[in-house]
Amino acid sequence: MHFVRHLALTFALLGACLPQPDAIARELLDRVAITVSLEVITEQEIYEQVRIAAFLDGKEPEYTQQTLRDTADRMVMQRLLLLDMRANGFPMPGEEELEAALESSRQEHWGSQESFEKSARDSNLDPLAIRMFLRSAMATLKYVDFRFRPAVRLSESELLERYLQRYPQGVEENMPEPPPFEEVRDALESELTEETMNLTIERWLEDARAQAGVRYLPEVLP
Amino acid sequence: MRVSRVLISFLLSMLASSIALCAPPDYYDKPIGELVLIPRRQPMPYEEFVELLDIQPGMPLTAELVRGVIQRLYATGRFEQIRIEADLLPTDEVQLRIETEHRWFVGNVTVEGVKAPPNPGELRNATKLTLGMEFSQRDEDAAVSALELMLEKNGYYGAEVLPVHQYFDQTQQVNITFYVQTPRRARYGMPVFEGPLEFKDGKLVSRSNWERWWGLLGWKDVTESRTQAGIARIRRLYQKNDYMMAQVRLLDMGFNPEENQVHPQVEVRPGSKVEIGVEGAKLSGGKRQQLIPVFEEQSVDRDLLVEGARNIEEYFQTRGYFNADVRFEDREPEADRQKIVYLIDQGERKRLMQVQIEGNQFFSNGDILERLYVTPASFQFRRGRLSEGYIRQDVETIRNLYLTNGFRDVEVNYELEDPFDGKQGQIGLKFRIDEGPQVFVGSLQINGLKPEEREQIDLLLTTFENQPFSVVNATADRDNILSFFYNLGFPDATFDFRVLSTDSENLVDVIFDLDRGDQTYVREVLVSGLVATSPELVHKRVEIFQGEPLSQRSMVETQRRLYDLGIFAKVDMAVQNPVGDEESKYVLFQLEESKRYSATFGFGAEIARIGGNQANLRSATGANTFSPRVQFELTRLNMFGVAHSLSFRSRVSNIQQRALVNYLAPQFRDRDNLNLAFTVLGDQSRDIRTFTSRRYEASLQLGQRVNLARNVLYRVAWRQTGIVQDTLQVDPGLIPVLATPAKVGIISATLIEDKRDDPTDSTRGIYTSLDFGFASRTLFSGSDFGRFLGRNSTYHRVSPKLVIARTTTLGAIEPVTSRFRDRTGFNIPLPERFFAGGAASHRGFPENQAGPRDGVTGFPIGGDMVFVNGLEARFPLIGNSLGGVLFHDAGNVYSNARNFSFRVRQKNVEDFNYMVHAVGFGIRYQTPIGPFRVDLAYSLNPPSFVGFRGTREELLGLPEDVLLLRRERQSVGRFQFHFSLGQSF
Repeated sequence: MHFVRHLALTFALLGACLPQPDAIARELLDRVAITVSLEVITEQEIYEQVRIAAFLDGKEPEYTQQTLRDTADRMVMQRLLLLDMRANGFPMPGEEELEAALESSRQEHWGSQESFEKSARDSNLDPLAIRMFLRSAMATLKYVDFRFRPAVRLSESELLERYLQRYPQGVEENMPEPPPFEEVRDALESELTEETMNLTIERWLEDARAQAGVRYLPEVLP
Repeated sequence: MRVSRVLISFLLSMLASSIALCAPPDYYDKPIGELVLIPRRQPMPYEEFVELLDIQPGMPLTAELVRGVIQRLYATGRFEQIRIEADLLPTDEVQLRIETEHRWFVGNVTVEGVKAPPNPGELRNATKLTLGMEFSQRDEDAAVSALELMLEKNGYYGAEVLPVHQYFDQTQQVNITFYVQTPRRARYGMPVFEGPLEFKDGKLVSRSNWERWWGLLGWKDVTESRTQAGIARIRRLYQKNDYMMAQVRLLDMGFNPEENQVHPQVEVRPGSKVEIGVEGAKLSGGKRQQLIPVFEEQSVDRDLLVEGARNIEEYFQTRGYFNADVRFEDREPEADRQKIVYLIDQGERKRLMQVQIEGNQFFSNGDILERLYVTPASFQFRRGRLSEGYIRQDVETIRNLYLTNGFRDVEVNYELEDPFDGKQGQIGLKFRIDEGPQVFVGSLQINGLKPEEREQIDLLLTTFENQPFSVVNATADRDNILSFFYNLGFPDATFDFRVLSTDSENLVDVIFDLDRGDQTYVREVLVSGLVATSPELVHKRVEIFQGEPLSQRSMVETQRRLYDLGIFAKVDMAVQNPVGDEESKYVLFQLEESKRYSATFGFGAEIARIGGNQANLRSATGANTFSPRVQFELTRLNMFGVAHSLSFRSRVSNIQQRALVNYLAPQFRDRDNLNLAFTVLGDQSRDIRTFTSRRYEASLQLGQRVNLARNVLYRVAWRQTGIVQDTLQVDPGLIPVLATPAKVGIISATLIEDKRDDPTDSTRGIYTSLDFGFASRTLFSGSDFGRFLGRNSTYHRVSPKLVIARTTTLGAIEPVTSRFRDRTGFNIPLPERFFAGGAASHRGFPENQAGPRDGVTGFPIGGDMVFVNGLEARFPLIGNSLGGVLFHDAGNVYSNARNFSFRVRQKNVEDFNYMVHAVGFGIRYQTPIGPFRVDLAYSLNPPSFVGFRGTREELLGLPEDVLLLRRERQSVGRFQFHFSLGQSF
């Protein structure tokens, strides 16, 4: 019974999207999905991001609610960082840098420029949109490093504490001898830095979301 | 079942794919043939909306175009949702449908149905719905909850709050009225105290003050302020009993719906007793409370104790104990009592003998010393003024002085010389200044200005080429320039400045970068909240107009003009949708009208040398009198909704009874600088010893403020003046003349120019008032005369500690024709004449005792001319609060202008036409309402006159020969005391 109800609902939803006599003539092109301050992320932008991400990963796009939601969250984070970048006058990556990144991706998945463009067209993607996607992604990655890494200050005691956590001393008799602290110091420092940075970014994002009044429109992203 | 799940996910993913493809590319790249707006009427003019869309007919439809339209429309802040749909036209063109959902903005918010407290303003603030903000259901729900909470705190449990909206589609404004249905206000009941109380419940209840008449009449109504005050009073009870760390907390109001009473649940944690003692020096209880923050903060922690030690040290330093050392220690607890003792080592009391400046080349010693707070010992500061805090403050003052003059690297240090000059008990202070190089502005470049703006901006700048460079000046320039652009409607203008080094060490190039952003204009001005006031009255005072740049200054000016009407308790202003990116915006004014009736009662008293025994004529120069006074005023504001006011004022004392009705039209004829007043008054006063005057007057006065310093008053007045017959204390022969009621119709103009720095205690500036009047029969006056009274005062600060002040008063009345002319030569009715003498004029006389006197009784009868010149040297005496004055007053009231004389000797007892000189000394004690004044004057040449020894009845009844025997020579005393508030001029 439960299954039948689900099936009926699914067909009803499908039916709603099937061409109707009037709907054939009128279609929704786009609408507001998320607002970030006075900026908008439209419904079609989210779908496009899903397609581009899948395309660059060499996968088929998935349009499940979860994927859409995750993509939307990522886009909001990116938009907040871009707004902050703009306010602080941080430059976008140059053409050469972008081209180098694109070339590496092209070589990895498609081999040649022609093959890349053909695949993009087949996936209903504008190569320009892919460039924009990459440019924003690169910019935000660089900005995150610039904005949050200098604030991370690790003390020697924190590193030592992590070392002792990772390599407990004399807990079990048969345990192998832990590496000396100096040997693993850099690795631990890098790991702890990443963790602290992530924590800082999370906190910053929370504040930035509240400040920008991020809203998901329920009719688009329930 | 597993199969079914797989099938569903497959179907759902198909559905998602179909949604993704719901925007089929079939429409893209086809030309746009038609635009349809839903709704047809958008919240901005059609042209503006179409311009925002930026779509031309025939333009190919692309995904970017669609996104661009959505983004631009949303950025205006006016829309909640934007959907774009496409339809294919028979011509193979695309019809684009743009469907918008509008956003709403908060307009007028009112809360009705609540009997204060809380008052409407408090309730409105509780909603947190501010004018112009975006309106959302979430905010409204929060507002309802906040109102319910506030009402509960004020005893209205279970109040129902119903928001009602009034939507204005075109302006997207929503006015919200919260209708409140309140039940009967709850009362307090027996509180429940928890914790180790240390006091009996009864004492705590009594301290809470929640009972009515100590419980005899039950309990009081619940209000938030009463609850808070009760808790605070209980806390104070503990603190007074040395429970310094006592915590008294309201846990719950404990409402009982059946009784409609609350039983506040109060948690008390008294903590241990803490006693704060002082050893080594005396420190009064009041001073301890003032200096040790533990008392104010109601908690004891190390930081507060350290701050207390610092404050005590500073206090002793300012009293001459420059080496004072203060520590505190925790003593062993005695019987559950913690004891903290401040150990004060005062050290030797010293005098600061000298303050020296070293290393200064650019500024002279005088330039620097006059800015310092530390002061060497003098008569004013017997031990000098010095403390570490003062020194730090002065170091900063010197530093800032140099910084603003281009010495970027200035360093200021200080050194104490103890003992000074080898003498014990004396101390010296030396400031060492290392000026460093002075930096000048080589070139000044301002980016982002239009050429035609440069001239105006130059007038605002304090940074100039070839002048010293200072960050302070550049910051001031930033503020001035930004303010200039904000007022031109550039709310997003930003400014930055850069300082570039040059080849020369002493030169920098300064660059100002201005980004003005987009200019914003006024879409419309929306006014709400008017109930009784005429909208026209408000609109005429609005200084911002549709289509003009949105100027902050004009908004503030409008707010000021509306407040100046005196009929609004609150004038809120805001820009609707402030962050929205649109060219024109609505400017909102929300007004709250004041209560229309206001009543005030006042009590006061005056002490002056005006009284004396009414029956006995012996004290012609008056006696000190204490006169209590009662005042009452009732005002009806905003008459006819045009901001006029009608007030009734009365004053009753044993020397004056006055009733006055005044009708005032402020901002007359919509001009800020004009006001018109019509006044009717009845007055009976005995401010002159000789008689009690009775006056009925009607006057019409037009006041004009010419500029900030200058005012002109044009007045026409009709007076019926007379004497209360049985109070006249003069020669009976004069009674028919002086007691005759006189009608005066006078037209006059007064010019007042006030350029003093402080009207209550001036130290520099000038004050002038000139009053011209003409009484004429054509104005139904009983006599024709001209009248002039002028006063000019100047104030000069000749040194930091000495102010020379001067005032000259000159007045003359000149009769033209008169029916009062008779053997006495008195032409002008007695109450119209000049009288002088007293604290505010010539201090060599008691109040109004200068000038001509009655030949029989010796009582003053005033004159037709007055001249008084006062000269004062004002200087500080002790500290900052006590000052001294040496003065010289000269002048008199003369019988008429022809008899004016500078002569210093009185010819005989009937001669009053000479100049009386008085010198004296005064003390001024500064109070928040102006200096309290005591003056002692010594008259060098006081007048003598013939007085009468006896009563008024004897004067009227005794035969002539007996009267002669009763006449005696009297004189005005050489010493006169005066007490009052404010400087004498």
